[in-house]
Amino acid sequence: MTSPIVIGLEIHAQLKTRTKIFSPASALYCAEPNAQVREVDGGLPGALPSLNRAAVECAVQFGVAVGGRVNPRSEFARKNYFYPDLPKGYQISQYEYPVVSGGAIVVEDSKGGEKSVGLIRAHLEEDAGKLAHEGGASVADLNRAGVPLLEIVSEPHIFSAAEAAAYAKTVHALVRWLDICDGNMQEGSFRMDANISLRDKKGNPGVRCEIKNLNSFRFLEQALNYEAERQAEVLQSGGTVTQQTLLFDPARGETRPMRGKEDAEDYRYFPDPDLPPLLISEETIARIKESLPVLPRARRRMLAEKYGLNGYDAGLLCAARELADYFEKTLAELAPAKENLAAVAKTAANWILGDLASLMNRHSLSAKAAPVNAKALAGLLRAIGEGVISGKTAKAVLETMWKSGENAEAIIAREGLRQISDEGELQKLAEEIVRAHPAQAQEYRSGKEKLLAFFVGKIMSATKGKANPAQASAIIKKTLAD
Amino acid sequence: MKIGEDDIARLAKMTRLALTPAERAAAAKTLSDIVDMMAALKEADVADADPMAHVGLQAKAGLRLRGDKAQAGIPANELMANAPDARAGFFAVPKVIE
Amino acid sequence: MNGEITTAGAAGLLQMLREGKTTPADARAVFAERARELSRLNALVCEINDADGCGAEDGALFGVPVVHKDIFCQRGQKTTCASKMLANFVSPYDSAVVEKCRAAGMHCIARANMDEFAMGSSGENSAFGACKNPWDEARVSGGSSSGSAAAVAARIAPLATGTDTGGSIRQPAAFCGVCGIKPTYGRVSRWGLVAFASGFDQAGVFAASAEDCALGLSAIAGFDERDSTSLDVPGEDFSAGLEMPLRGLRIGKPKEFFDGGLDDGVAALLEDAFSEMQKAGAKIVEVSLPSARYAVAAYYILTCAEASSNLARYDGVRYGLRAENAEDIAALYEQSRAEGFGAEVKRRILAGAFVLSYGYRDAYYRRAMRARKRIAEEFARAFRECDIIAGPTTPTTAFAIGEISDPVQMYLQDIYTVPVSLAGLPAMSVPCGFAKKMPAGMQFIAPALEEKKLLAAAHQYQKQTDWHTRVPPLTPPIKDGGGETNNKKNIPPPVKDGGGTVNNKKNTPPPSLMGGDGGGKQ
Repeated sequence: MTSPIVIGLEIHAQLKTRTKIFSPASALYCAEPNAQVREVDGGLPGALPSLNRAAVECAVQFGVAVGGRVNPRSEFARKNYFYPDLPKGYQISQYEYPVVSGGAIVVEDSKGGEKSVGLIRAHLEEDAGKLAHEGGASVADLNRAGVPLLEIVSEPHIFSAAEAAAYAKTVHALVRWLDICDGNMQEGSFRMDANISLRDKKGNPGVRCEIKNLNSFRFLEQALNYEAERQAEVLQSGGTVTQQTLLFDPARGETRPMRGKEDAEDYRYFPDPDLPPLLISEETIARIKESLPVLPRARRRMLAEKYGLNGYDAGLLCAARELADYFEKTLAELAPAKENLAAVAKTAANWILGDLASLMNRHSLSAKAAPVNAKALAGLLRAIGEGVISGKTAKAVLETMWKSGENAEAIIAREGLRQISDEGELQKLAEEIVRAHPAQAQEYRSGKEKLLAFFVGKIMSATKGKANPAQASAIIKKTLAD
Repeated sequence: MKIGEDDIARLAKMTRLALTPAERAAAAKTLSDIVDMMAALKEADVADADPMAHVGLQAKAGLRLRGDKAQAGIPANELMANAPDARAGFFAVPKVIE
Repeated sequence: MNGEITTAGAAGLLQMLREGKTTPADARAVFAERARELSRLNALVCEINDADGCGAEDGALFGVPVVHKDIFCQRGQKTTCASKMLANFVSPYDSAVVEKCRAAGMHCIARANMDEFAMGSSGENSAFGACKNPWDEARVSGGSSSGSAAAVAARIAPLATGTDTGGSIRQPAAFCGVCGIKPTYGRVSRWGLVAFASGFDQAGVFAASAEDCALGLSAIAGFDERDSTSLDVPGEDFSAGLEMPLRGLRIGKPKEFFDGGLDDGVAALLEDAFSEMQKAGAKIVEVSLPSARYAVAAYYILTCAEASSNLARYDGVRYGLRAENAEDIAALYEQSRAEGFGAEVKRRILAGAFVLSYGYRDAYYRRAMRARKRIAEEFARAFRECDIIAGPTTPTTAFAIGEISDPVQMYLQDIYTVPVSLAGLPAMSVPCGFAKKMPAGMQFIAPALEEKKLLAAAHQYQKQTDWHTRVPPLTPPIKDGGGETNNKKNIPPPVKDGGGTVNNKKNTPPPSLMGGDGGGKQ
């Protein structure tokens, strides 16, 4: 059965380079307008582009990672149109001969099934500047003009809005995994355009519409759902869909035609005479292939096999390369005995995906930037494992570690958090408590075993929580039985 | 080949050139002549020649790649000095509606 | 003395400077004065610069004045491309050519007139008015580097920079009776050269002699990483090979360049030049460039296409002319561009958009790319049979101002220069005599990167002839010829009897100032 909805995505990933694609101006974000503009970015007369090696290497990494063909010869072309944020009156892009052809992205659905979405191509191009609208005027800032983009074009083989979002998320994770894009969607480092059409009754694809500039996965899904419904309604009422470029209005949850955008604009592409063909040698491709990190799916498999993690945890750890690295570094620090490996790994995964992840989220920090590094976390986990502190105490210690940057041992010592594991001391305490509560002891002995928690609670409060709960429970039990 | 005034209007819109009706008429005539001159190529037997986008030496050498080392931007006062309408460091134009 | 300075040429002036016969400041003042006296030629577009723009003292050409075509960005200077669009544009940066000339010690005394954005073959398409031909002020100087050629011809400067896209150095050099060299595409950096057609534009120099061209070219050539089409080849001293003899040199004569179209007078001068070179031991071989007949069509398709894109940046947003009272952005674009560009520029933008537009791209643009390839192949084949090619630079000598108004007829003036441009080869125009009192040029063409062969052939030819020493009969005349004591070669021929020192008697130089009949010779 063919899907009634046909979707193709064009993703613009801003490449993580220091300088712009065709000029040595800084490509980093800068708040001061027009402060990072060189001759070519400003479209000055006589200015000429020179291609950034780092941008090419990013594209090759992507091409190799998706199993695409890195073309030995590709070409830059000019896309001609006028817009106040386009200083040269044309965008340098790739048209007939992109740097990468083919390849595929393997997308997982929520049920754990897999689908491979083919890529048509990935090509290098320059970003435009930013146009802001103030009062009666529009103002252009060209800092972003010339920032390198990799445009990743999928085959129209995506059949639902949810699938489109899953595909986009996978691409997003991959470009971050490769460290070729920071993936910051608020700042526009990862933008999506979606083409959508509905098939007619005979199964032929219909007229398609393009929704431009979607900067969140949620909006992507909403926009596609809305547009699929809108097109279906048009067709059901006997109308025809007109080919147009649309914008999504998140406030209204609707798409609307983009103003000033001519239908089927003639961009008059031609090879940019300022830029000879881009030749990429087999050696370069081989070198980059060699230096490529293990890719997410392989890494997930690796984590599961090596540490006995379940697929779900391994998958979550592989959401970002630095998270997976963090996990493995933590394990390396702990260096558990072989027979304990799986258990220690599971504990580490739980802490990383649980408490640590929530701290990272709360502070919008990545694993790499977290103030608690793998070594420090290993220290904390060791303290738990050795019974020095309880899991509950450990949560508080982690918070302190995050804030102060101290290691677990120092915090435990300073705050006197060490668990009371001295059997004699606990035994004495247990006997005192049992003696002080004869009625409850009697009830317990006559079968009301639930009361054990009561006695353990008493010990915990007497020790201000520093008793090892398991140990305390065992000792109480023994004392009551005596 | 005859280039009509409507063709000229289309091309002028594409290239953002305001033309008066008289200019449009004149352009239709001269452009027809120019395109006729260009059409001489139709007779040329070039089907087996590869399209040449770059001169041989450059095509063979390919693109040189620049190291990813940043340089300061053009000083704002110099960059903006030629701007017909500069506002707070931005280039201003009449409002554009998207 | 002044006359000696102005006619000494770059090499001669350098020698005078070395011998202490003049100083850089004095020489500069002499040329500046001459520039002022001859302002009516309209060869220059800006104030004469008496003080600034000095070159480096340790440069090989320290003290040699130069004029830059107004297409090379010069920091802090107006760089207008002779367009209303850029009439007030002050460049915030230097072009590579300006940098190199400064480093070589040259003093930039002024900026030269040109056809707007280098589009034209007559110099008439300038927002500042046509540049006049110093040999006959009723005639055009040729274009687009009109002012550069006229300035060197009128001895306003010993050296001038220019750009050649389809003949814009060679053709005005021929029309003005001076030497002009367009090097191999990629030999001189295009950084800061305002683009007309990026895949063809190439900077070069004008001078009275091949020897001076070699000096100028050595100064401006060289690899520049800012230009991705700049060829990464070692810098060369182009003066070093000038003494390579003509003896044994195989000079190709493309038969297609002598069919039809060529003016009889010019053809006769070329025959003389060929026999002159043959006398010196060169071997003339006939070669064929059968597809050259498609060159004008292919050239205009490709360059108009590139121009339509290159000139899109002139939109009135960041610099350049902005129409007043434009209500919205569409009006701002359309009116600014309508006001800022002249008729020829608009014509080429429209034609360029046409050949790239949907439905026509394959038939025009793509086909022209194939023709370009074919022409390049034919040159390569011809160079298997000869070392250099020689032929006419232009079909006729300079025509009258206003004489050619039909654009297509104007484009056909480039018939002998554009094939070379399509192939990206180095070529040079050298004065080869006078037809009806106007100078004619012979074009030498060499394989890529073989500029030395061109310059050597031209220099050796100039040792046999003295056409390049002729100075146009201008008022005021050059003061104080400087002396009968000088080498004969450096004496401007007396205005009335050029025949005296000439070894080619067939054509005499013009007898009087405004002697041109102004008539057509198409």
